[in-house]
Amino acid sequence: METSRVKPGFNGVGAGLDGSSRRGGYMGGVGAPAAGGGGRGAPVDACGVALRVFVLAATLVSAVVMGVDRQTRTIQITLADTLPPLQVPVTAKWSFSSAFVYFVVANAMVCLFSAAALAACRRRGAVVPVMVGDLLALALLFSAVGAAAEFGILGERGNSHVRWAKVCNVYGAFCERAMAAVIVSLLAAFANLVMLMLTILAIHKHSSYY
Amino acid sequence: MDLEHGSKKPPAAPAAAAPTRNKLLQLRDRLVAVQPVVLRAAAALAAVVAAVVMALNTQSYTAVVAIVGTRPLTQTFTAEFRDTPAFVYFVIANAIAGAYNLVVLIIRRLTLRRRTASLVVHMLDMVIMALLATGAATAASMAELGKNGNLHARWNPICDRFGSFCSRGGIAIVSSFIGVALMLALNLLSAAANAHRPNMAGQ
Repeated sequence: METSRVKPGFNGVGAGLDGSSRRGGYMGGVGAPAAGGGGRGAPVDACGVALRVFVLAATLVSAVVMGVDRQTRTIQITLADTLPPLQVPVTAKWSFSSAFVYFVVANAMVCLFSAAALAACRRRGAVVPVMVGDLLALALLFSAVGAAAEFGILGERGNSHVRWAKVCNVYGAFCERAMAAVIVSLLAAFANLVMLMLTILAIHKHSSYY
Repeated sequence: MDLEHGSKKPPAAPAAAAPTRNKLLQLRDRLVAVQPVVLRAAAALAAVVAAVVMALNTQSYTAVVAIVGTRPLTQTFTAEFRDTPAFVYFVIANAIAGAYNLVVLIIRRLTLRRRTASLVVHMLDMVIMALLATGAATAASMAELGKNGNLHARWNPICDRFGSFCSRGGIAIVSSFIGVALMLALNLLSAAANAHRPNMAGQ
């Protein structure tokens, strides 16, 4: 296997796919000429700009959609036959459920981290914190999706064993918006997973074990 | 490396940066050399314990619901993990994670293609960690609802009636979260071990 020694920090065009023009260390994207995740050559970019931008956008969207989710319905309560029915406004807000609160907070945290990682990932010393943060973001996103989806399923179907009635027949739009936010967050979680997988591929490519 | 020179301090010419850096390198080498086997065995144990405790988690009590004439009518109320899709998913996810970790523990000793195997195992580690995180969070959400109820949805808490069911479920969920943390540490360890391979020639 021919190994052409290139200066560290210089990434020639098309040097990413075979591992032979780069030795040592795991530094995918330092000096790479605007390797924006596609384009010419290095898919093993340590920064993964395209995927990270998608994660940023998707978590932002899902946090915002869940954060403004509320619905007010007026239901009629009949006290007696002679009196006109009472109109009682009832509200469903996202903050009524701690699972949704955790969902919004987790998505906001991952969004902030993605922004910080996009700003800092070209630096040499930022590789390890970015990877640690990516793993934590993975765990956060998937757990947020799990918790919010669980609450959504309980709202959709109720639970007959525990005698919990379903809620989504009354609050249809609220449930739909929450479900949309959860799905978008799930897409962000999978994008984070793919980004981490690409990072691991980059690590394994650049470590010459043999 | 400081292993050859013993406890002699390196020359003070590079000032205070050298001893700290050597200590950090030593620490990192020691952390990487802590066999991932220990971490993986602990993660497998945590996942299996969580699955088993939740699967065997059941509680029933009998209460009098009506009195007909002079005879009381009793009814038995049972709580088990099958009542909720959340706990069913929790048991399945933890069983998958525990089985995966056990299989990897056994197979890693036998396979010869180190590089492909370690790459595949690293990838699968991440996927399984995501699965565990989802399962643990889902069960935790259900458990929090069971403990506190939800006032706005008119859902009553159940832990006042099924106390030991709730505490055993809590133990299972905590064990699953410990498993998630251990798999996170495993991921970081695999990344550190594979990233610095060319620098550690003797390993």
